Amino acid sequence: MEMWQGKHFSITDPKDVKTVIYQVNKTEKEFLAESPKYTIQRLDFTQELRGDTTRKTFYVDNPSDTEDQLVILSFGNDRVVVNMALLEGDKISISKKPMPLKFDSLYNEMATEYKDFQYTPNLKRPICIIDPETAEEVEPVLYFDENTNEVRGKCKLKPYKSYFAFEIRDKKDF
Amino acid sequence: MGNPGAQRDVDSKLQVVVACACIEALENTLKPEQQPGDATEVGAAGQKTIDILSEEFMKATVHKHDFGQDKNGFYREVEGKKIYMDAKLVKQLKNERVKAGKTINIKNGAKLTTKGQEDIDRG
Repeated sequence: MEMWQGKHFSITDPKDVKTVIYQVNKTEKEFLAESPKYTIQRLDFTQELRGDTTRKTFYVDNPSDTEDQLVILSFGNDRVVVNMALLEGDKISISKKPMPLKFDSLYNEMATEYKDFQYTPNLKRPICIIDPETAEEVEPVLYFDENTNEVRGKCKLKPYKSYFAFEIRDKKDF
Repeated sequence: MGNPGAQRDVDSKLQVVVACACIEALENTLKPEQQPGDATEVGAAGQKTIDILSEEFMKATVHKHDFGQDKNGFYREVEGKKIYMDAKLVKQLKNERVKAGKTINIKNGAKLTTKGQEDIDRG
């Protein structure tokens, strides 16, 4: 009888680096009308401290039958390295084109309160926002605005602080 | 044990790209000559991290794991250990698999059930 199996792999984060990984899922054709073409699933992980470094095991709990595209984000003190990988069978291959981004204003001394940042979300183009200090997602709250008669979004961001935002696009559309 | 396929060019096989930006100070205003996205600086700042992580992924070996369920909840079985999972994540995974027509059979021929498990949060 066929059984549900997941896949996992381990890496060691360098000192002061927090790596998070997302699995990219392509939406089936029949659901494309109301859904984005690609959705992402943050991989669950367990970790073990080893001196200055952290050994992380990432779990791909719902692997596809063929291959899975992964987005790898490694957050350092003032930067993030964006990379992609392909999980095929028991092999993981990484892109040769990693992209480092530097944050200009991550550690601003100015004490500020979190503020609600309001926007009109495009539900066909979901954008993920991450706090680079914690590598945690900033969860938006969606609500229906009766004044404008549209779905609006709001999320709490801290002024004078950098955040990392990304979306998945088709290579051919880029 | 290494992973000989790790550094081959996968870029041609990837169907998607990551479009990203740093959201800088909220109350910042762009200078007249700046475009949205100009606040990001792409450079060699992360080269050391890239080198270390590239090596890590080259060394990484992918293993399969099974799933099981007991009175404490749903778990992954990795190297003989039970790693319990967040109930909301399990429910989401189950729904995705059912929607995609994939099996939800787990160890010992059992079928995953999320009924009554929602309150167990192992996150």
